[in-house]
Amino acid sequence: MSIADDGRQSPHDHLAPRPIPEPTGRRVRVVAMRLEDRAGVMQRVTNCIQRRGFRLETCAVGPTPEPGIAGLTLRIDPGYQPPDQVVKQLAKLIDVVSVEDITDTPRVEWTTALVTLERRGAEAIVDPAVARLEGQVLHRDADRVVVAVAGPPAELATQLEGLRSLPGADWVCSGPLACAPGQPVTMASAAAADAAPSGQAGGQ
Amino acid sequence: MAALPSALDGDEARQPDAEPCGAEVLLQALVDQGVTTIFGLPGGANLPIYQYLPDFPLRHVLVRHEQGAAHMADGYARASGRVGVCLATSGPGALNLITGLATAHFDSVPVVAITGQVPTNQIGTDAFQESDVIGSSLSVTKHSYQVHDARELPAVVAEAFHVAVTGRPGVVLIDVPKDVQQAVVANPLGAIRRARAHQAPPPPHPALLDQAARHLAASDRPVILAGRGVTIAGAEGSLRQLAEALDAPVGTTLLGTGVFPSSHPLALGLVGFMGTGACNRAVTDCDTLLMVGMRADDRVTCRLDGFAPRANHVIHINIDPAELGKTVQSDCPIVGDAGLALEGIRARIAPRPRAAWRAQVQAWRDRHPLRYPRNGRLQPQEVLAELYRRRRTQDVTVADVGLNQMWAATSWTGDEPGPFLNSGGQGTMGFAFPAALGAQAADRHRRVFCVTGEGGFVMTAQELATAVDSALAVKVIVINNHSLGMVRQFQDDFYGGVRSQVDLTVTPDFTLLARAYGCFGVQVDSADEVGPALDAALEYPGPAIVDAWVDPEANIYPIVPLGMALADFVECPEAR
Ligand SMILES: Cc1ncc(C[n+]2csc(CCOP(=O)(O)OP(=O)(O)O)c2C)c(N)n1
Repeated sequence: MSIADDGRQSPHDHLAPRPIPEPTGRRVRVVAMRLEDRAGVMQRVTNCIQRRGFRLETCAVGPTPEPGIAGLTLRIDPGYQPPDQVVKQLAKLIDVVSVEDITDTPRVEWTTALVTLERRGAEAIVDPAVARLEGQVLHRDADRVVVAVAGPPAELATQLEGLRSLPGADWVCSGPLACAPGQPVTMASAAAADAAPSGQAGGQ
Repeated sequence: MAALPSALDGDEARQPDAEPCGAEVLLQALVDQGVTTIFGLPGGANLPIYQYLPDFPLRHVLVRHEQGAAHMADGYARASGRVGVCLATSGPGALNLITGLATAHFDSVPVVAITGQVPTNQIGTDAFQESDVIGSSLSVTKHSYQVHDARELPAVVAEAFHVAVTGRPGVVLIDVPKDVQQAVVANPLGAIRRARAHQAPPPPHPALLDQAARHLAASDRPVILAGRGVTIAGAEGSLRQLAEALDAPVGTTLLGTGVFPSSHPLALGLVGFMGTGACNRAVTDCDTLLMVGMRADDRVTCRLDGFAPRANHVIHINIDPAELGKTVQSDCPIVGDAGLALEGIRARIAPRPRAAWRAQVQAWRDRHPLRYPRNGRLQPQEVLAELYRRRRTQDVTVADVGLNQMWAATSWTGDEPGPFLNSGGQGTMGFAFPAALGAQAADRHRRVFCVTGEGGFVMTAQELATAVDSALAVKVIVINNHSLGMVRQFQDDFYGGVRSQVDLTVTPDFTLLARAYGCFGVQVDSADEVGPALDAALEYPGPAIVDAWVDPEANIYPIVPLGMALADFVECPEAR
């Protein structure tokens, strides 16, 4: 095991640096979560994602009908980890009420964008474009128009791409919200997952 | 000198029958949780707690560095099975805990850390000794709280202890701003209301136990690997019964050292990177693998596709579902308590001898005994053999990190399971000595041995003062090779033989260091001196150091070369 006498080569040089493997492909997970709306809870969620080597692509968060319970939709790339780790690790957070991977579940998704366009001197192009968007005009003055557009994430992305060449085109976009109508997210679902016989508790 | 006006220290003029303040409520909540011992160090932001500490039936071990407090709470918890508690001030005090908390959390040890914080209205202002300990500790805690209302303190403490011990144990931190410690608490609030209470998983699913029992019954070459989860569950007896019923050999992870008697005919010893030849061969050749109370990290599996490659079935028992399928894929993942699962499987199988497999395992044992060179210099294994000869079943052995740890684990002997503590997940140098003090604080009547390298020992050696101060008579055995030995071996074997920054020739004379702190110290460098030195250390009523100067070139073998499979282990070249 020790160094050869000529000091040149270790018997384990065949272990010398190897290329770093690529992550096992893009298997972004769509995750629906409910959590207790306490101070710092989002920090716990994002810390878990970073700590486990996942990557957060999008996030939408807001209230639910249940007081004190927030609902989230996350798109998370599991990186090098097995995809089920996303839900299993998030389920361990004490403030998490439920967490489901709905990637492979029939679901509906919705995204909203606020688009700003410069009108002055370009009304002839901008105003018809705004009309074609079929969005809701939230603000219009001589200089600018702000219009809200919404739709399924992929469709909205295409629509926004089409606006890129318009004068002063700028937008902000919410992370997609998703829900699986066949599988309503309930308080009980995380507890049920804990008892899952598959041993994949916290999993699907 | 006259006392200063009490503007700084709050309510000195309080009437004895007045409502308690947050600090008192906090301390009472700890007492209510059964806490008897706290490891800590005071500072500006936790002074109200220290002001009232003497009023409560709590023993406080004054540490010399907060990292020591965290490791002591950890060692206390590992040795006793109770929650360890440490206490630090804000800012640097709180941040000094972090390494110790990470060490405990990685090894699933229930510890509750309490930190002082700057007053609520100063949080975020970069006030003196402010640190975001919640943010800094997020990834090394199971949960944490910053208390903004003193009335919540009893409920927070109760929930923190519940979370620390329930399911997979871990670290919980409670950050208490100074004004909250000083606030008067008229009506404490009830328990924290949660939409989903944190609870242990239900008992292992019967269908999966059936399946596991079927696989094991049909197996001709079963192997069991056991980790610290077996200790946490108190399932050493169940492990042994199942192993005997299956006639299945048992290997242990580093953290599982001590869960299975080394003298048992089915004992394989350590698995993994520096595991025994017999164990690594058995795992490689088994047709069914049962892993219980362990995670299967890279130090266990080595190259993943070379781990149990012939196993038709991998049964994996862990209380944390996230550990199942994280590295090793299991076709029979069982969530639940290790003891319940082992007993459940045991109840479903008929005992069956497996003579051929036993003979094969014995042949590997004979072919790959633990070997070390005999070159006239003191060998670490000789020191450890003398130590373990003196060890009684309930004596606690705590190992540090590095070669000393691996030698201590692979040499461990016992006819019964016995406590062997070390930092497995984080591999934190400097863990052993303070952890040993914590173990000693948990039970003064147990003997506690700390096996450490000289490199790791000096990382926390200032706690010698704590040992003397708090009368914690730990016996330290320094396996002194005058180098960062494990790194030196890695450099020799895996990094081109370039010995870079591993020389520790300049190390204190530990006998003088012992004297400086008022302890007993003795130095040895030959095998025949070791026994008498250990006896002298054991006879000495206080903390003692045996500084054993071992062969500086001694290595750990077998070892699996980095990136290779378990079966590719390399044995000690010079020894026969
Ligand atoms: C805090 C910390 N820093 C660095 C390391 C990396 N490391 C692992 S083993 C080792 C050498 C330990 O030397 P020593 O304590 O003398 O023990 P030996 O290996 O010689 O028995 C080092 C530096 C570590 N594990 N922990």
